[in-house]
Amino acid sequence: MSSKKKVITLRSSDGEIFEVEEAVALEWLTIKPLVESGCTDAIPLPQVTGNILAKVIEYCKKHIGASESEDRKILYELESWDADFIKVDQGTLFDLIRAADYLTIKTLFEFTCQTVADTIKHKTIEEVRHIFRESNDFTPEEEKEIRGKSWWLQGL
Amino acid sequence: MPVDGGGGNQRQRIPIENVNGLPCKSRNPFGRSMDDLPTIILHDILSRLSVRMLVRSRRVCKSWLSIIDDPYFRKNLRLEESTILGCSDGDKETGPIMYMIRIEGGELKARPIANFPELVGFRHKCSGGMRSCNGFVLLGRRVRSRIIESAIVNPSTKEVVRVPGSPYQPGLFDNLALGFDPMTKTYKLVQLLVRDTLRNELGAAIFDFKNKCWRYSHGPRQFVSSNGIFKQRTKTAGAYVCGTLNWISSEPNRRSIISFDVGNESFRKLSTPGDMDKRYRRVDLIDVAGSLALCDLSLSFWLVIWVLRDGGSQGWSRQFSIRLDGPLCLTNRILGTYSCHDKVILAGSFWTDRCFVVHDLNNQSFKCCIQNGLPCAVDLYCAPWNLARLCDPAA
Repeated sequence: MSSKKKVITLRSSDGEIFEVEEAVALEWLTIKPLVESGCTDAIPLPQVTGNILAKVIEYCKKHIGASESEDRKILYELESWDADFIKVDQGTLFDLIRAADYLTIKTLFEFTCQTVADTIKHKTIEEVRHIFRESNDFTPEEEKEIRGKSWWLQGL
Repeated sequence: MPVDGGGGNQRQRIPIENVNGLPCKSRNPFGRSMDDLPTIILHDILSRLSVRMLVRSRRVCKSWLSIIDDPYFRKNLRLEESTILGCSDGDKETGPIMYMIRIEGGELKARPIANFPELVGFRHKCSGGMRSCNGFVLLGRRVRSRIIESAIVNPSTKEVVRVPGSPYQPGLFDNLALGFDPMTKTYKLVQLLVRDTLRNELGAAIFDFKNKCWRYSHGPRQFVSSNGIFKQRTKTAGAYVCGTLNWISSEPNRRSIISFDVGNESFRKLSTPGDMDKRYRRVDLIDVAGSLALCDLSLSFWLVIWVLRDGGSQGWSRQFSIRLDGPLCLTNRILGTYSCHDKVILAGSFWTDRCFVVHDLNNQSFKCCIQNGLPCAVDLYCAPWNLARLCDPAA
């Protein structure tokens, strides 16, 4: 309990081994009990691949302590760092959300979900379908019904 | 060790049912789609969208539609966005028309968002102006000044709920108001009544949306004289403020506010601010940041807003005094607060045109004074967008 720089070992789904500081791992609520119980073996994370886990650790390392900072400069830097961090393809973004959900990392989950929501904003239905690779599964009649009888929904 | 250049996940995908003859979702090269995200995550993402975007997103696909229309989802929406809605009676073909009003470059711009051809003949007007609750608008159909049928509409979803006239007393529209009980999450249409036969008992006829019937709730006797609120044309309609409906009783020399608790169906009489102008001709009740507020326009050049803090325990405090200049002194009605509760909208008549003024309480300035693009018959009200369903017990 005394050693400050205690290191936790994690194993991704593809067998890669990662080492993180205990303070970082304690933010991950899913594995927090394991860390607290003083587990020394590598913690298996069967739902997260190595490259995603690397990104998650990168994010958490950067954010630990910094998020609570009152210093405007630090917060500003963190914001621009976040903006660069999230410049990933759609697939990686969804994987990050899934990983944040699985590991219960609140900050990362909030951030990634908000990023997706911001992506949808100001997009047309067709663009949204394209981005999320959804197909229009409505029959023309159903679509008409959703649109409403009149012109009003098109204006929205 | 599986290697994935795209940085992804090589788990075995569960085939998704083929809908509408289209190829399965796995057709995309990375094998990912929003469907890969658990519904709970999709909930979270969609709940961050604006209501306008949500209304539009219902058309993306069936799974999105079912999420957005789900009562649980709607209950958990963080809809902070409030907006100004307008309503006009329309004509014999359109029925009542709802407008969305935005402040753009110092002017109010109105855009029609919904019309209700099935409600031709229903009107929003009553002497106290249009009232709404949580984004639902109350309309009424009169025959010889009696309300024989009401309709509650939700401009966001186009839902319409028709309510037959109250059997208790052919009432004026003014005494009808829609209220919301935050504890049980139910809506009630309330008609304020004074029954001469029951020694001037003040009571409420309540329409229960779940059982679709009117019932009567007894109130205190000798509370107000019957020629107070009803026999006289009052300037106020019931105002919904944080679980209560409020009317101004206009008994001569004994002005007071009647407050009806929608949850436990009890009445309370609130006194008006002590040193308020006794003439008391032009007053209106509005909601300012969840507190009941009384707008006093009795003084020709000043608008005074009194706020009742903490449900009345602190008494009235004089919150704002706004000086009205030029055509503004002809303003005769306050429509309500808008957007983060820092703006008050005033409506007035200026010759045949309607004049709307938005006053910013934070920096004490009038933002605009226009009727540009608004049909002159439009009435405004402020309400959050609401996707709830009135009849939905869960909503």
